[in-house]
Amino acid sequence: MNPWLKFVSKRLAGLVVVFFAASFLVFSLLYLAPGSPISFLLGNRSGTPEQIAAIRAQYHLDDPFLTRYAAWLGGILHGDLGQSIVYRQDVAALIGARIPTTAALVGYASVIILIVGVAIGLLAALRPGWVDATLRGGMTVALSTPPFVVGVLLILVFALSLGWFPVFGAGRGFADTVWHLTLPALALAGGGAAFLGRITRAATRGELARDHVETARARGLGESRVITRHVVRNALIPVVTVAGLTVASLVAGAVVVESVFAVDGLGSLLVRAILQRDFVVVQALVLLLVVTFIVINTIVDVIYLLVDPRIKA
Amino acid sequence: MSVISPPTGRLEAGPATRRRTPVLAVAARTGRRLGASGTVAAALLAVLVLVAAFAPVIAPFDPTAPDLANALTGPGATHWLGTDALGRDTLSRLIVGSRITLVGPILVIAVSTAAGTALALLAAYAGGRVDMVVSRVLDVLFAVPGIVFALVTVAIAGPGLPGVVIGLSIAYTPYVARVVRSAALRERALPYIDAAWVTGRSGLSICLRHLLPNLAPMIMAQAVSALGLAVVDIAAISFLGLGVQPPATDWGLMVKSGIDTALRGYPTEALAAAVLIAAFVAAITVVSDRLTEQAGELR
Amino acid sequence: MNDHLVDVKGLCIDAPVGRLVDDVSFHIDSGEALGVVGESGSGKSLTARALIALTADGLRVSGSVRVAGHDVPGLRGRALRQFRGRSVGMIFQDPRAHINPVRSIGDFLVEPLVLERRQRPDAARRRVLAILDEVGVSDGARRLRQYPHELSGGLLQRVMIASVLAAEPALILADEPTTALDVTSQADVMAILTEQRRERGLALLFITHDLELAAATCDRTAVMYAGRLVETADSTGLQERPGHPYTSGLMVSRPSIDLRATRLPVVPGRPVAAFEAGPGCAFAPRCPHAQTACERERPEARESGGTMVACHRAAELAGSLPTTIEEVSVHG
Ligand SMILES: Nc1ncnc2c1ncn2[C@@H]1O[C@H](COP(=O)(O)OP(=O)(O)OP(=O)(O)O)[C@@H](O)[C@H]1O
Ligand SMILES: [Mg+2]
Repeated sequence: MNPWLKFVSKRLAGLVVVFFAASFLVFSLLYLAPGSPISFLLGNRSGTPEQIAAIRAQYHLDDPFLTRYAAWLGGILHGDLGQSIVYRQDVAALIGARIPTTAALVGYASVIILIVGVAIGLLAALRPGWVDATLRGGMTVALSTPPFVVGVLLILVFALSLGWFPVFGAGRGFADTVWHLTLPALALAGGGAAFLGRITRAATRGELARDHVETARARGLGESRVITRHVVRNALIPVVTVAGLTVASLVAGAVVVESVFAVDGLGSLLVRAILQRDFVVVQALVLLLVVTFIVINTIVDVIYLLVDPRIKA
Repeated sequence: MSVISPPTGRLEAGPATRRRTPVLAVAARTGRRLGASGTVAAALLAVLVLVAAFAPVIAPFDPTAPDLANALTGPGATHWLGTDALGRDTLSRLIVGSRITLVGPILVIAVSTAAGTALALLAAYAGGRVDMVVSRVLDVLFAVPGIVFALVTVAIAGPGLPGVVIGLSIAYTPYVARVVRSAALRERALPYIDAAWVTGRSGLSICLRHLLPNLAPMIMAQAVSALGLAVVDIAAISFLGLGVQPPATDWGLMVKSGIDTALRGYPTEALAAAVLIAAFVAAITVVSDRLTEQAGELR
Repeated sequence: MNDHLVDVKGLCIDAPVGRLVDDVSFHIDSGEALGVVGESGSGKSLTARALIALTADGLRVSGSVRVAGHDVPGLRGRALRQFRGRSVGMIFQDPRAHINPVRSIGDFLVEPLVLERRQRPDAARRRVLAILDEVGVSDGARRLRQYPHELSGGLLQRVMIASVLAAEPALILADEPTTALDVTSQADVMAILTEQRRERGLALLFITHDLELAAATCDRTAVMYAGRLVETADSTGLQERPGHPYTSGLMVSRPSIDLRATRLPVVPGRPVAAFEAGPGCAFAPRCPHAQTACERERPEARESGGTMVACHRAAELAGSLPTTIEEVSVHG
């Protein structure tokens, strides 16, 4: 069999296994949750036994565990994520409406991470001395500051004091969205950019010291060509992997940052759903986050294989 | 081949250790190992631990007592960092809040390090099917980002510190286990372990008497670096309102409540809490970097 | 004035810790091969690197180094690049480390031709294919598509040789080109290097630990000890009549199959770096013939009949130094 086909099918099989395992985990954990959604549905009213029975029947609360899991999973595979008890709406619709916002935020942050992270990493590696020392200090600070803290500081400075950016919300249309999402994306990207910067710096430093760089110099290649074609190009191979993993972790980071900036995306929806014990929404969202996370990770593995000729499929 | 004589390797004489009182000696050795920035960071952490330990004594005001007459003041002579909307003293709340900020992450790291190390040694030692099962379970756990896992347990247990600590402890376990497992496998391949087998020691005794002490510096470094992540994650969950519940508080929650006061023109609470969290994590990062270098050199 | 291709006079290389290469002078003519022999750390690689201006940043190079009409330490920028790309080629010890692992063999070979020599890519490719064939790499077209990890060490070193030949230099620097290879390919690679060099009339600076190999492949052989040249001579002359006790020591310590000596044939002591040596002859502490003068005063390099020896007692010892262990056993 073609080694590529073999590798990809193996990864896909692994993905399916993890999907089922994770979905089972998510479903069973939330199934175990004490405190039923019924009390929420009924609000402060105590509800007649008939009412309660009707609700239990509507939401299949009396079916055995495995039946409910199978029904849930079957529904998911058909694109039916169930009904939100709180919103009385299709969960699929609730989620679908917010995917663009979260995707825009994560995409924006990813772009910042890739550009800024690689740039400062290269700069630090290629300009030893004060430039390197300053950037390294900055990276340590950025790496140590949690996204929500960065977010709050950005709000205090750029939104409240200077008034350059809006404090809350996601905006409409492309330009407005970019304007609204700039501070959230910066907050989300800060740590990742610093991390990627560190990795880029270390990889570049390591590559600079490698013997083959000396060969390139000995053959009369100009220094800028040596740097771009042999040092940077080689150093970016490990950077690709780390960049991918960093982007994957943004999926989780977005949950927090969206709440800081009151951006109505998947993250704020998840936090609200948890507070309101809207488990159907929580289940669907957690599963979505996990699947996105592992899919990105798998894509990263494949990309790594593509960019490094030393690794055979 | 024409080597005239093999160059004799010179043994570096270790730094002369002078006799000192034990405490000073330990401090000096730690200082040498941590370097300048590491020592500053470690001192910062030590101060933080002391503040947390004696918080009720140090705090100038009752952190929970409302004082509406003095609500929402900026920094001043009485209330150094001002008061919040209920007139509670911000500095006192920061001091008392340091306790949960500190204890939560330490609990998470203690539990996940213990569980991860035990699982890893089990997997590395039993090998075969046990190793495979453990590794697969860890793979699945890896697929769930730490904070998402904590959100799930919070959804189950309800908002509050217990759910957060349980969730993060489980979420961090596979990371510890993976690192320790591969280190244990490497260590296991070393000849001294074979020697121990030959002398008839049991697997458990080898794990505890030989493997664990040799892996300890690495596990330690790993734990400190994970501590930084735990601080960030717990603070973030508190910030979301899903962690510590009022009137108790930690710095994450104070950032959240600080936003409201900041919107009314008093940003001190949010700023102070935010800076403290960042400084705390930065100190942990610096110490962990030094420890990791050390553990690397020890190998 | 002088028509040597390589003319090194009073080359010194200093590190912050002290001197590493001390007052080294030698020359190589066009088409000539000079072997440089010496123990590990004696400064062979540093000397070779000085010829192509590749010494590390922290090192200070002084003295005169002229190669193909260029004052090498004075070269900068474009002139330095052109010198490196056209006048000299360097073959390194470990091809696996010295060839970029993530670029294809084709990229490696063609890159400087296209980028620095402005040759058309397809022309460069054809040229490189022809040279691969000449250095004994079969199936060149496929090799160009392969990556370094797919080739054996011996094959990779031939690729390295091809890369140097493709640049058409006047001088090849070969720093232990076979040390990293397995025994079978060592001989092959050495044979190809010698053959191609002779065919093309290129000069060669060949660094090795193996005095016999140097003497067999090079016209002249230089012996280095502690950053200094202690003897330079015609290869056959050197083998028959070593002029310096250290050279003799190198020859005597060679393991021989039919020897059943009980005593390990080594010169006592360990080699020293140039800056560790005393005011006298650096070899004096290990030399069986050392006298008080040797410890005190540094021996001048004396030339006679194309042979250079730096030893106070060269004249007395001439012709009497042993070349095999058997002789040592007889005398001792
Ligand atoms: N950049 C440098 N800084 C300081 N010392 C150096 C540097 N490069 C080389 N040296 C020292 O200079 C001495 C000579 O090094 P060199 O590489 O020329 O030895 P060599 O004769 O080629 O040895 P080998 O046979 O092991 O290759 C060694 O003692 C080495 O440690
Ligand atoms: Mg060398």
